[in-house]
Amino acid sequence: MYDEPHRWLQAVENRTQYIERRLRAASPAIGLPYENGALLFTVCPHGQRKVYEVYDRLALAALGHPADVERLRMMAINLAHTEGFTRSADDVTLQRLLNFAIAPQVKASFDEVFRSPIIAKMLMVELTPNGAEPQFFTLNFDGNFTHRKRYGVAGGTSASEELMLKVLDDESPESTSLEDALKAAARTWCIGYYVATKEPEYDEPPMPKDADIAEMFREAREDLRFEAAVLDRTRSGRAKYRELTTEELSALDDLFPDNAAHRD
Amino acid sequence: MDTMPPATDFQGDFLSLLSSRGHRLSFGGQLDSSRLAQTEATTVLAMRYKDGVLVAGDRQATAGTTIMYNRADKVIDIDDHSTLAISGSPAMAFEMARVLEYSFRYYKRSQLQELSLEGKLRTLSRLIKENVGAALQGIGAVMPIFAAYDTITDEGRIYFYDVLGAQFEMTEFAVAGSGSVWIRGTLYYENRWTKKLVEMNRREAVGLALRMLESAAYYDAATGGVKEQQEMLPTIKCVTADGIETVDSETLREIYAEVVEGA
Repeated sequence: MYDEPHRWLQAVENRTQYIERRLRAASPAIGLPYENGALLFTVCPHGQRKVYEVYDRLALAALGHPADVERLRMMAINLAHTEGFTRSADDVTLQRLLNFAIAPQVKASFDEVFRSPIIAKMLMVELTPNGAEPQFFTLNFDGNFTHRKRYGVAGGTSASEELMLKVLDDESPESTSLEDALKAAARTWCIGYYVATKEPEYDEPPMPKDADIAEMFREAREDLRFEAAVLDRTRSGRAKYRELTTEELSALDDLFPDNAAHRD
Repeated sequence: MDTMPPATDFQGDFLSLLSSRGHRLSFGGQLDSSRLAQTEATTVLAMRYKDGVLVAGDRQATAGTTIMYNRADKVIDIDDHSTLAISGSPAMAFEMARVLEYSFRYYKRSQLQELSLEGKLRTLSRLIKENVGAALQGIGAVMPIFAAYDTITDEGRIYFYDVLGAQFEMTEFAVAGSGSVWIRGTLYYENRWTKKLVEMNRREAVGLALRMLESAAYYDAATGGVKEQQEMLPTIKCVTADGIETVDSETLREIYAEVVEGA
């Protein structure tokens, strides 16, 4: 049935649509630099996790089906650890992991139209040893990946990703402090999640109203859990990853003062 | 490149991951130790003191009567609360330490929880057992001391291993290496009649460790001891609830001057 080129094309098209539909309601992940390294932020249901340590200076935040996320996560961890052990921690870079190992496998899996696809996206971040800016990579479900220096996002729809990137372009955090990075990430998350779930029909969704953003934030705070971790280059020892404490996350409490959430 | 692995592969076991990638830990083939002057590392000791465990080692590695290296670090940090003090063949011991370090980190990252102390000890046992073949052929034998701070029971723990991988927990102290025979009795004496080791503060414990290393070096040609003029100070680490702290050379020199030379 798939021996004719256009049918194969149709199959890939169907597959893409199916995955996109499944990912639409996924909670976005946002990565931002801050004074001591890089922050990864997302929102997830209680009892679940989406932000993970991969290696000494690598972390990821994923969205999609938990089983697929787990496969990608373990692939990254296995590769990083064997490479780091047999060569050196300095040889474990995201560029190499993605370019030569993860992306080709995800692509191969996407191309196997008879088998169930990987329904997941990943935002990966790397802290470079020389103190330069952190590197952000977003891996798509088809094996394609993009690299960004200033920040990274992964969202349920490409329209929501574009809008989140625009928000980060236009509204850089007030300072380089962790608190301000966290606030910028949470605001961006609200915008991304809002347009992906409430306005999926737009190719170029308009910027949500402030009241809608605040409402989105309030809903998330009530029903879900904020999850954030940093790669902190001031941490002693090799491993730079640490999860943010409840106290650090409480910086988000005054992001939208309650009255702003009420519509007129 | 193989296809996407199932997520359940290896269950956090780094040794299985390594062997699945074709990595061998032990030396292969039939080995003949008589043709080789083996490099060996010499005196290490661990003792429980008031805040946790102190682990110390001299810096010298010898092969026969030749000093191969005098800056060897025989006390190696494995994770936030455990160290490995090695005696025997450095080639195998350093590799073991590296595997151990990766095993604990790999477990933690993949399984999303810290490996238990019991699990860490089993991993080390396994490594030593895999090395038995080489050890019996007279090459690459390693007798490590594993010292950790148990964050659950809130105390320092010391474990000693024999060549075959048997594990013994020591309540007060453990010694290993060619120079250790000369200080084992002294430590017993100190603990029994002078002052309980577990009641010692950090300064007292460091002082005693320096005295022990010098005593070992006095009788054992393969132990480096403390050679202050050559900047060859031993490695001393304190493993406590706060983590691992390497005693800096400034402090070592100061305590050495007062407790070892001044006394």
